[in-house]
Amino acid sequence: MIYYHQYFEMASVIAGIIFFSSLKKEKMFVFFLLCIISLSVDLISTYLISAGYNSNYFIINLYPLTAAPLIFYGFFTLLNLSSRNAAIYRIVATIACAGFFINYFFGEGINKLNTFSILFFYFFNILLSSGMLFKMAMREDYFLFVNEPAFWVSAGLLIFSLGALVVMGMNQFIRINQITIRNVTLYRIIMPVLNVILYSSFTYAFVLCGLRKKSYSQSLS
Amino acid sequence: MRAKEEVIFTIIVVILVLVFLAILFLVFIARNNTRKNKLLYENERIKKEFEKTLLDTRLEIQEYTLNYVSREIHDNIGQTLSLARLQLNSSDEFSQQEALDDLLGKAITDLRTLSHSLNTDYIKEQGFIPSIESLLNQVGKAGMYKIDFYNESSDFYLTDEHGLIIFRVIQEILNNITKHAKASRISMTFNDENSGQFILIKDDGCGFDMNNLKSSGIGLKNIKDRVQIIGGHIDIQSEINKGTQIKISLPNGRPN
Repeated sequence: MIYYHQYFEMASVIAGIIFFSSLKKEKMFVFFLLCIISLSVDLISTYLISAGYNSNYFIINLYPLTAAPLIFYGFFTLLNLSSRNAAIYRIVATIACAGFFINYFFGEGINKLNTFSILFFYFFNILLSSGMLFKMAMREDYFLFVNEPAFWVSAGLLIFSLGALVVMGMNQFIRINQITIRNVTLYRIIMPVLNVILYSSFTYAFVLCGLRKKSYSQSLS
Repeated sequence: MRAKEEVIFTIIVVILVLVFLAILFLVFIARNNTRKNKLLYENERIKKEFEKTLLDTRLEIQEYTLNYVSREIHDNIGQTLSLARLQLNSSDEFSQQEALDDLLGKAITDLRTLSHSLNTDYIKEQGFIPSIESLLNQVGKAGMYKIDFYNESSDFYLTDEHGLIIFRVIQEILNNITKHAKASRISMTFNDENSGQFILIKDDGCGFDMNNLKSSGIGLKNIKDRVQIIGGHIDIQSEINKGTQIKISLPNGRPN
């Protein structure tokens, strides 16, 4: 079974494949890998449940573990930090990734949803995407926001992470109290919508990368 | 059941508020970007316009100089050399030598002045005020006008580019006076005050009707535009048979 938001994930991966050659130039390659990991985790976890497995958490928990280094690296290349800030960034990123790793194996464990890791992961997403948007706002040269792939990636991540932080923060509460709308948990209602926003913006960002490369080639010829 | 509904409502409201705030943040950034882009575009446009004006000014000054050189060669040096040739055929050897010496001396001085004015950078090399004085000398040379020049400024300064533009503006004003004003006296004053510096040009010519400024052509509009492009202001006062007064106000140009 494929949920509707997974089509949007697939669309972003397809857009990434089509415009693969221009992603690296625009420093978007890492976010393409993120889409692949996200789609894989989502499809496998959905398959496991439909195949009769009791839990898919050991797969879902892999998401912050693998996505966090990519997000950190992706924003590191986009932010162009000064050497002092870059050193601080590297230390914080290493500590965060190590924390997710420890939590996966020795903290909340493989078979329990790593809520702390996921919450911190979204928290870092909010920080980094806001930082990126702020940096873009401070740029003094002529450019259009809507034509910047980094803007769409950051905006999508910011909106997604803000919503997801609330939903995941209250996940235990929602499950224990069986908070549902027409027998569907709140998590299953809100998260797909947020995913649609996130992967639509990723898809658009990848398309922009391709279009920018095309217009650049045309201006050369 | 009611408590659950309240929880659902609260969660959805919190998410919506957060998403709304995020969108607000994005809109704010995008608007800021648009405003900044407009400003950059406007600055770029002004810069291009200034460069174009500068180029036009250079070309016009070159053209003016070539016309002046051609006129000088024909009317002045040519006449002097013709006269020298006539003197050569004169019978009195002593007076011939003396007169020839005078005429050739004059021709050499005129040629030297001409060669200076042919140098395209002479405004930059001589300085702005000496260039204006040379210009006034050129106008007054024919003897048709009494020229008064007053430099009451303690620290009159224009950058090379601004100097070039104002030089051309003054050239055009003097050109208008000699062509249309029927004046006998031209005065020019340089002055500065706390708020800026100014150049006052007066003539006692026939003047013109200020209400008919539109019909007086592109010249005056061009002069106004050029003064404005370097942040200055031009004020023209004229009455029929009472002469014309033009005040060019300029910002203090000396860099801190």
